[in-house]
Amino acid sequence: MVLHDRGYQRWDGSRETSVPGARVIVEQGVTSSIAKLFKRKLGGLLLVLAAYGPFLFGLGVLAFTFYVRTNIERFPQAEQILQDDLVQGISPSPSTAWAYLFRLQSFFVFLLSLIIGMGLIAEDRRSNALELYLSRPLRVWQYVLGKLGVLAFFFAAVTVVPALLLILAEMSFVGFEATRSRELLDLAGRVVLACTLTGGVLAIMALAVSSLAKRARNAAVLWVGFWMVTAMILEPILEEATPGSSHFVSLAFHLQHLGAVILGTTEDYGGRGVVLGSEPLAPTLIVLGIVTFVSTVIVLRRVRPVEVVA
Amino acid sequence: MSDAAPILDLQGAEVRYGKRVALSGLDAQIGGGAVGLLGPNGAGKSSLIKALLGLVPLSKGSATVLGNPVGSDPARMRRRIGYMPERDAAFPTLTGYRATWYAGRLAGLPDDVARRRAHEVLLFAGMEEARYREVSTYSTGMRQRVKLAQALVHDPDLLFLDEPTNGLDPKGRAEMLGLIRQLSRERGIHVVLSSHLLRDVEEVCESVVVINGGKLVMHADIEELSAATEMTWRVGLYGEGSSFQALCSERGVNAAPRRDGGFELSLPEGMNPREVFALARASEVVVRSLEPTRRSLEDALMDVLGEVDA
Repeated sequence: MVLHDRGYQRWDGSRETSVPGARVIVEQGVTSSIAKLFKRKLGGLLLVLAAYGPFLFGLGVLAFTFYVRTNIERFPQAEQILQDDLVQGISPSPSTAWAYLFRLQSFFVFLLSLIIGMGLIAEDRRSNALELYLSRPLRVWQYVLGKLGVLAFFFAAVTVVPALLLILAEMSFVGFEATRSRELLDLAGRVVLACTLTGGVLAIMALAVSSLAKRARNAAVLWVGFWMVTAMILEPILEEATPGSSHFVSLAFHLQHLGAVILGTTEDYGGRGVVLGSEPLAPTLIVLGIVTFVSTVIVLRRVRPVEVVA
Repeated sequence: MSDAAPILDLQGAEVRYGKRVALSGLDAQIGGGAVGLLGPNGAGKSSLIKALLGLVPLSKGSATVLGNPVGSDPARMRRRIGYMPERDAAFPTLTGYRATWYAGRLAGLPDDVARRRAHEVLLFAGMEEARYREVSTYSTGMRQRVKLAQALVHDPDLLFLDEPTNGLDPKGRAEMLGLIRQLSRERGIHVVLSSHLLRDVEEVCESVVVINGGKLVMHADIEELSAATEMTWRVGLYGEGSSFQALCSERGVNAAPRRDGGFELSLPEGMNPREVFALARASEVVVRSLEPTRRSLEDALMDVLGEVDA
């Protein structure tokens, strides 16, 4: 018979010399967030289908094009099909990558920042978990990095991962064609850079807003309010006052513009004669730099084990 | 006091929250074993623990914990420390088991060890099947047990317990104190038990540190304190007590009047209590009752705190 001693047992093993705090937080945060997304199974499933809908459609079109191209003798209208706007528009290029990331998927990025991002610090503050985290061998920056990692995981899941998969699919379909392969590799690098920079800014902003509240829903109201005020109130008012320069107050403009510059494309912004990718980059870098700095300061000031009320 | 190397060494330690001084000029060398940290609410007990954990900075002075200077490398120091906070604190949405595993991972335990230890310490803390339920569904007693398990999962050498019996019913309190006693006496874990309840400290600790108004009031062994509490005699009288009191004073007996008309007598060394009857006869009063009493540690503590307040 096996007897199990239920008294306290000391442990003489060695602890990891460098505590992988951020990694542990990312792993746990991702697991908890997926459970949260799928708490209502149908809702979670619909969200995933919707987020991956454009990707699946694009993959289908690329596969179809590949099939037509390789069986050209069986399709009399092959040339016409391959020149079709839809087929051309799906084929990975700087313009399609920009449209995919900053038009189609930006909605899902915002949705994920709302559903997952807003509770990341707010709920820890509400349940006094910061005291538990920071009384362990964990530094504040590791905690923040871990929380950023959680958000980055979900942002990447709906942006850079499907975009890279589409590029990979195109590469495998076109075969070894040096020029096109080089183009696609270059595009993949640009996609990663654009997503890292714009997603990083958005993630630290979301964390800053989350750290301002003690409930996810309050943080969500702040987050939605922030975007509504800038896009629906501040921008139109400034457009009236100083026509043609109001987009400088829009963070959405700066994020899209940075994306367009990195991807090397030019896109129309809101039909106001402003062309993303050709406007000066310096103001965008300054605005995004300030936003990142302020957000980081807010997060570091709010993430404390002891809240001092003076 | 213990002759072993001190686990805590405080040299003029001061903690400030803005302009408010929470701890001032604390000097103490605290030996191993179980140490009680006593004082009324707001005395600075929690502030001292947080300062020793490196959660709040020392504004003056210095301190070492297990030989490690506080503030130099808090993350390294915290690997050997377990902390059970006073406030209700939990990792949101996690089950008792998952929260304890997570605490172990954050403390640097490898994954498989953290899993095994989480089960072990939860069973030790008396959490059976409930460990698979979300912490948010727990009663106060269960939450305290999970907090203890989280503090123990990485097998610390020193355990800071901040008001561990808060909110517990008498049975729960006795069980919690039993667990702490076992950790300290049988498993060799140093325990610093902060409480405003002297009975908790008396039951578990070998020495006591009393803090009031942010200052060190007393640091003594419980045994020494118990020995120092003098034996007194409570006498009830029929008749006018003033002449009895005067006669007592002449014979070197300290007679403190009581509300019921009787006296609390402190007899000089070597005096037989039977002589009280002779004193009563001489002052023409009749002894109604005479019973021995010992002043409790609580009385002694109240005296010390009263002197400081005065």
